[in-house]
Amino acid sequence: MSGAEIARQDRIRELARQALTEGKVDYFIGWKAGHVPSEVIPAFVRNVDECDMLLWNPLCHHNLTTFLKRKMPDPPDARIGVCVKGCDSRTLVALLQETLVDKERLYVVGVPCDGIIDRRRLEKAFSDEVIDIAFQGEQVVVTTRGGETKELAYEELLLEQCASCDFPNPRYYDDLAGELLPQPEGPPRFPGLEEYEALSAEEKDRVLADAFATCIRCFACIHVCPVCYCWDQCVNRSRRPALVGQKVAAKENLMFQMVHMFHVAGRCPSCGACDRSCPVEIPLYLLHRKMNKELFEMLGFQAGLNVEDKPVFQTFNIDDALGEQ
Amino acid sequence: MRIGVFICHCGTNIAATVDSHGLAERAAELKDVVHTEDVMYTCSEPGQAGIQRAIREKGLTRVVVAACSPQMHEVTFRRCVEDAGLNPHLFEMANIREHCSWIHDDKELATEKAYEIIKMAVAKVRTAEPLFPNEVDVNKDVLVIGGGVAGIQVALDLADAGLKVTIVERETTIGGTMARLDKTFPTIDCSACILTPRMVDAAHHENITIMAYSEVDRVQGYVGNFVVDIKRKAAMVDWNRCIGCELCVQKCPARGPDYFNAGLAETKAIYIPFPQAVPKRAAIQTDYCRWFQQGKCRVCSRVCPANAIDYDQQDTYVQRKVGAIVVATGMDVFPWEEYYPQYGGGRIPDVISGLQYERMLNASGPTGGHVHRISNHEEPKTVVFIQCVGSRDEAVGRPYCSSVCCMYTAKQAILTKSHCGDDTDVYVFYIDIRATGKGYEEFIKRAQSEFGVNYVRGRVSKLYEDNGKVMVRGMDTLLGHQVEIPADLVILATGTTSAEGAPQLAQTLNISYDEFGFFKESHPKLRPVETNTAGIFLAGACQSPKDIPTSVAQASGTASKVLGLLAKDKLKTSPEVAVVDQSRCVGCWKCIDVCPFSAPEKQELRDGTSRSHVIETVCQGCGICVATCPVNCISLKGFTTDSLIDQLEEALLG
Ligand SMILES: Cc1cc2nc3c(=O)[nH]c(=O)nc-3n(C[C@H](O)[C@H](O)[C@H](O)COP(=O)(O)OP(=O)(O)OC[C@H]3O[C@@H](n4cnc5c(N)ncnc54)[C@H](O)[C@@H]3O)c2cc1C
Ligand code: SF4
Ligand code: SF4
Repeated sequence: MSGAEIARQDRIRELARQALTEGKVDYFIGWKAGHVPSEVIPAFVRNVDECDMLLWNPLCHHNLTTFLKRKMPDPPDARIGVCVKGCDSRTLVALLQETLVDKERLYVVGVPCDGIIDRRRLEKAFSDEVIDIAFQGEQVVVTTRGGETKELAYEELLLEQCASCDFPNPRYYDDLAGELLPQPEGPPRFPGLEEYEALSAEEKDRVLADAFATCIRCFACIHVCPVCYCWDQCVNRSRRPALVGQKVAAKENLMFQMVHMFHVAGRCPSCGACDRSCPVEIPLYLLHRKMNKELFEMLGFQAGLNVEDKPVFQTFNIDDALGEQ
Repeated sequence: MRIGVFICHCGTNIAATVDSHGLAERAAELKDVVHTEDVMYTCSEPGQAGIQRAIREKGLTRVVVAACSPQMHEVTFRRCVEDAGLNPHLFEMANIREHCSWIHDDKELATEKAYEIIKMAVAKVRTAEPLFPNEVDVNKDVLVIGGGVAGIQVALDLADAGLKVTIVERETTIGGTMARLDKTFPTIDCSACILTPRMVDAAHHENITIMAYSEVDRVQGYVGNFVVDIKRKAAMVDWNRCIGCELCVQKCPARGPDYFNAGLAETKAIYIPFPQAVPKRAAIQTDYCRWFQQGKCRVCSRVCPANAIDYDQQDTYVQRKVGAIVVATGMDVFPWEEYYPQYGGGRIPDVISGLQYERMLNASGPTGGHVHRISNHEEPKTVVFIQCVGSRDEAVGRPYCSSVCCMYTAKQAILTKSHCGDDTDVYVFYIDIRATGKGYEEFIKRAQSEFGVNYVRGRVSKLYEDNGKVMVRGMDTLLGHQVEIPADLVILATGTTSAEGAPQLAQTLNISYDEFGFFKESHPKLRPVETNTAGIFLAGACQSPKDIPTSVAQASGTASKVLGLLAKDKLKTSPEVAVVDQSRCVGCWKCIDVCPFSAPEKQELRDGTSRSHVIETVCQGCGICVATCPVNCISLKGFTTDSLIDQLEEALLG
């Protein structure tokens, strides 16, 4: 692990410790080691002496703001500390824009991020079970049960979205864990869509139908999604109105995902949490990233940039309409 | 449940492409349908009587009429079923005319589609519930926006009938375009002589308040109960003191542009647009005032005998509560300079607009009514008019006819002859002559035969300066050859466009406008002065280009509609309003934010949390909140999500 990464991890622990000691928060949400080496999981820290289990490394993919969505968790007046990466901070900003989380009860630690590793790609590179992952500078050293040890380039393991990240720095935070990274210049990037966009309408239909045929409707995607907050009222599960058929079949699945996409449009910054959560590896980014691209190209809108901004579907800019004339 | 379905032929409007009779037979098979009938004209007396008879004899509890658009006849049929004892909201219209017969020609397919539409309506009416209107009190005051001839006419008509009227005019005087005209067609009577007495009448009327130099800033509320915030712009002159003596104007050393004279002259930084202005009050154009720009001068404050100058004046806001709003903001002249480089784009001094020429002809205009060339002040010997500049020209995005230019060109051509003498050569380049009003065609004929104006059919392709003349190159399409005329003065019959800021005003008022910024009437034939927002009406050229007679006639029509509305003490409000399922509301307040009528409010529940609640009498049923609510917990009575899904299922799966 690079010096910067270690510094960030130390700082997260320190800030959590401070916040808990000073009584600034009732609990602190960060990341900790999971059950297998390639996995990091969310950590809920209530005691100062637990702070050392907090972790920061390129496996910390969870967008922790999902635990804040809709009404903040019990008890209703709990004060919560939470770590956010650049992309996570945008979903938090989106929630703040919609007044769905209470700023006063939040303590936000922003973590500058060099990019998260695509865990699936890493595991697939080995036929054997991975038993150790070490981060050494620009290299990721992986050891398998069979004793094989391989050095892989960190750059090459990055998630597609991280490889062309526009927001390595958090957009909103109370304290920073580490130095801010250089802000990339140029227009926003929406990687991985070229192939899909080149298709004809019929081919797109087929690609989506194929992609969604395997959905088992486990709803992992909408549970991890920080900005999908209707909970029990989700139209996907409602019988009346029966907007989405309950059958687990390609058409209904696609409908379900389309509804999800439209519902989170304007809040979704393509953080990719849904994509990473899907057990059958459906390329959900095709829908969400594409939608965000359209929103940017049509309305110049990007979700979750500034707390003062209004969500896109809540604004009407007269010039947008007049411009068409 | 007992549903009756009535399928209209609409003469041959529907029956020519849709088999109405066959549909009646098929619809009888639909679930819960106990009576079907095809009718020649369902909206006619016997047609409606037939529906009522069936309700009584067959005990119908729901009715579907498959005919034209609900825009056309929903009200008719609701009333019809109500008279027969059915709640009007247990009725549904299936539009098989505008949505089907009129747009298709394959009878078999069109009939199939009509059947689907009918099935959907039956599915919807099945879940319909009886709805009951509310009543609200009506405020009888009226706001008129725009004090041109149309606005003045509406205000006078309403004030004479006893209503209190406020005119909001954004310039410092009322009068609008007509105050700037010289004579008017087709009578060639003096524009000011007929308008200014009306302006004075309005000013003196006990029921009229004129708020000049003011603009509507915000409109809240709904028909019968609008709350309007009006911005009174700072004139830097205390109008309660100003007596309109114009001493300040005479002494002011700084010059500024003169909108009233259409840029033909300059005015002073402190100005009163014209001698008969109402109210006759001075205002400072701060952008040109020496005190505001350079921090010295204050001449006006020294000479003012009334001590009215107030350099520290700020914009102020006042609020008015009114029951109805009339929009009469008129039109502007097309900014031809930007669009016609081939006519010099404004760089050739002797090429001017129709409105500029109107000022030049005017005895109280900048030249005292003397017609001269701008370049050398000589009287012109050859004058050329070019029609349809900024009208009927797709190339500049103006496909419509401005409706007044043919006529005002003929007027100006005649006036040219009388100002400059009979020996002046006057040419008019035209595409067609539109002279449909009373006495208009005769007027054109007089211009041609009596006054010897040369009408040349064809467009002018280019204007350029040569040897002190403006060369007019064009085509005479009747003779089929090129013509080139060395002219002294060229007048462009500039078309009309919507008033500046019209789309923004429409947004503020929540009324529709077309792509050119003209406001949309609710129905071109049946509701020509109403807008789609109840309680807001239109008058004059803000709706479409109009001449004075039509503007005034429409204004009086508008006044009678307003009177009809405000004659009642209470108004029934539509029960088709939004309701919030509070158990699902997450309190994001988006509905409050998007509602154009401020209908949703925060309501605190006993557990201390707040949820949204829609005030029924304020809600106009537009449905924006329904579409916005992220958790889908608002529904519109009469258009519930369930009923829409039932319709979709019927169409897609049924
Ligand atoms: C060159 C020319 C010559 C013409 N000659 C003739 C003729 O000879 N005979 C004839 O019958 N017709 C003639 N017309 C047409 C005539 O001018 C119009 O029919 C008439 O002026 C329309 O009246 P109006 O009240 O609807 O609009 P307007 O006269 O345009 O008045 C609108 C008023 O509303 C005000 N206003 C605009 N926006 C706002 C706002 N947002 N808030 C508050 N106030 C606002 C304006 O300042 C103006 O005072 C001519 C038009 C032109 C351009
Ligand atoms: S938009 Fe929906 S969820 Fe949000 S406050 Fe209004 S009713 Fe409640
Ligand atoms: S339907 Fe909703 S947005 Fe429309 S007027 Fe009613 S409350 Fe307002």
